[in-house]
Amino acid sequence: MPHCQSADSCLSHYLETKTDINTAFDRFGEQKVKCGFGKLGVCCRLCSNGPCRITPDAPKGVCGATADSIVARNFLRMVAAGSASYLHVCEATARRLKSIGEGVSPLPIRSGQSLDELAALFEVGGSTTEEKARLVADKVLADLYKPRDEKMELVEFMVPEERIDTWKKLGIMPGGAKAEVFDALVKTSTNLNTDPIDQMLHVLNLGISTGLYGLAMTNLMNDVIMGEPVIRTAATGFSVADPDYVNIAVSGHSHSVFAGIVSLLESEAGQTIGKAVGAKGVKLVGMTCVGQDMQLRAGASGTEIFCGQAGNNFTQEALLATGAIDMVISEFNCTLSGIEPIAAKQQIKLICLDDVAKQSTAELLKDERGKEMELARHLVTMAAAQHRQRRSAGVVIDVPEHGHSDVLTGISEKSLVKFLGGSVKPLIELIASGQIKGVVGVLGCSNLAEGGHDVMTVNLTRELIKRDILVLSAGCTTGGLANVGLCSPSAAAEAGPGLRGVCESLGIPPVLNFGPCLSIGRIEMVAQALAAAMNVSMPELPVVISAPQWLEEQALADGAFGLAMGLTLHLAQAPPVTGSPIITKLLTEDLPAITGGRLFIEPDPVKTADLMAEIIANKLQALEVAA
Amino acid sequence: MRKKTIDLAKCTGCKNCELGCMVAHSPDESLQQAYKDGGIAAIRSRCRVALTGDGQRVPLHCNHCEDPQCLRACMSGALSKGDNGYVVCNSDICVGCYMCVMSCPAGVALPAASGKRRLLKCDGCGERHDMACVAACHTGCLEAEEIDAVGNVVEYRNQPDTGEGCG
Repeated sequence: MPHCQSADSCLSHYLETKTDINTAFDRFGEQKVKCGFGKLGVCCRLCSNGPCRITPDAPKGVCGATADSIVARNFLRMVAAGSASYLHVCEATARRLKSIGEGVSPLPIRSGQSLDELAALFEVGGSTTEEKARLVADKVLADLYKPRDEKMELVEFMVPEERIDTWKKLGIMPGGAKAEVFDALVKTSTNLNTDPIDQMLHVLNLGISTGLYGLAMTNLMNDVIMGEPVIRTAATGFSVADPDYVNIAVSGHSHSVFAGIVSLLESEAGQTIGKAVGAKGVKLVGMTCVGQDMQLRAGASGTEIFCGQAGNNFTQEALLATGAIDMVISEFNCTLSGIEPIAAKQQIKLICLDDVAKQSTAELLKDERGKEMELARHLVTMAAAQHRQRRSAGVVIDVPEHGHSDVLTGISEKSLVKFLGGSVKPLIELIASGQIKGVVGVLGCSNLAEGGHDVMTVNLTRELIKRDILVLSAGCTTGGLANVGLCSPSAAAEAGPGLRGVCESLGIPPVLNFGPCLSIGRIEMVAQALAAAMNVSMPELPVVISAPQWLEEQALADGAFGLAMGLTLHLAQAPPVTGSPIITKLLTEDLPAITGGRLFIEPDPVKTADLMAEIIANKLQALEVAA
Repeated sequence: MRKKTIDLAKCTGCKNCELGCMVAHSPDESLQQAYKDGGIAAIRSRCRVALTGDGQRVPLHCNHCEDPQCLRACMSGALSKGDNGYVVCNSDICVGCYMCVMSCPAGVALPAASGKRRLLKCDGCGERHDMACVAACHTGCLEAEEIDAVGNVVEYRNQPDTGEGCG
């Protein structure tokens, strides 16, 4: 069966040479025939009378549920799971921050300034760094654990007033985030809620807590612990892994879980552990989004010991096949099961730090607060031992020339404003003068559908920059875009004349790399800053977001956030809701009058770019700004 | 002509053959659109999964019989057997007398569920490069192969009492 292709031709070529491993690129073909009922969302497995599938000849389930009810239940469950996943990361980060504040975790606060700003924003008081850390963390944890009928307090500090008003009118201001997820599960169980509209409002409610807590709050707290992003140039691709070092690949989404390891490796004592087994030292290699987080903050932490981001979610099997990795540490999701047999073959040690991410052949070493440095020493020692064992066993190392060494990284809502001279106004002026035709966020996951790995993401981005539209990227999209060169300054040559001129004069690429999927929260903060500077509401903003190759439940929860924020969202592949006429119409036609957001589905990159340009031009025209 | 092999031991009753058939007969061959318009008679599935009295799942598909009883019974001239061997119905000519429905030994000549009275039947996907039902089958129950024959193209496997087609 032929390999699924990637937009990254170097990766495709490399995979073709690796005939002895089985990867997602092989399995995609084996799984090609899809269940139509699953795609439409009209299969209900909630009771023993089922599974029921809705067809023209059988328009209701045994219980009487319509396609609308079944689709709504299935979709709300997916969004609840996605929301729960991001909230798990937020909670872990808050608990770490609190533990540092309490003096339990022996870790540094790398950005006191971020903490001061956060404490001031949330009006928590506190005089010392430690006290502020405790108070901010307590505030976040208190919100997450409120009952459903008590609204979360920090929401009002994080979005413009017009959003709060809209959400209050709709009754979607979230109560305690965990309770909202809990009741979403209750609501979607057997013979409970059958109202598709009520369930879709719950989806938007979960979107708000996902975006503000799971994404934005996690970033802000990780900035405190791991340091603020600083704009710099870095390397991406498989070439970042230097086999002369003990290489630990990191996977997951919680940067501060690695605070102990980063601190240890920054010290001579940490590097000595690697040197003792004949290596030059020990380094971390970015495998999934937490690597993007390390890349983003590498100006502030782990500068010398983080090699760079290798790729994205679907490049990890190939990365392990290079033989350059000695250990994989996974603390959260996006670690594919498919790496397990490859790791066994390559004698790579697999470690999980959280049971939510426990892989069947990995060793679980729980990350306990207060014992970060002991765990770090244990892990680095194990990795070094594994390195020595692998070298004596003569494992084959075959790292291809792959990636780019001049990727602009470290872009955040703050560093971008700093780069622009203290405000977003210069960007608005470029849009007003027509030199840049608009801003589009190309975000989220990568998948193997939509023509292949990163194919839609890369093609859409090329079409957008050609039309002088600046692209902001966060998530696995960024891994793909960086590895085809679009996050390097030389990509300016692919942009239209207006955007090219801007990029060349500033020495920046036409795609701005915000790092991990969590940074979707940062891009929404940039959007808020633009709206504030232009004095317009979020729905009026000439910005479109796209998750061209969304993969999973978390992406759907992110999407719900974008729609609740009033943004126009593009997806190349419809989520499993199209079996419901009511929900399809709600998302694609009625939403503008509800939250101001809108969803549109278009698999063709050229048509999508044309539509986005048209949407932005119309919004600019409505604001009487020249397009 | 394509021979269709139906392995009853592999049918899980997922009905994706039915969805595949609907999509193949919808105007733009989109799953979403076909499903949305599923109430329209013209894109109802031509095949279906039935249950026997003892609970055995049986995918019912047109045999494109060598001597088609439906065609023999057709008085309007709507049904014909093309050079490719598939028995097809011209909807413009069909008057909906349903003598074919009465005559089909396999029960796969179906009256249109709504709209104009007319027959709905499998066209063998004669104008497609593959058979939509076979392409949509996950389980390996439906398989197709090109053969030199002019009819009786459905063969059941793993069935104690093999259903004989006509002719």
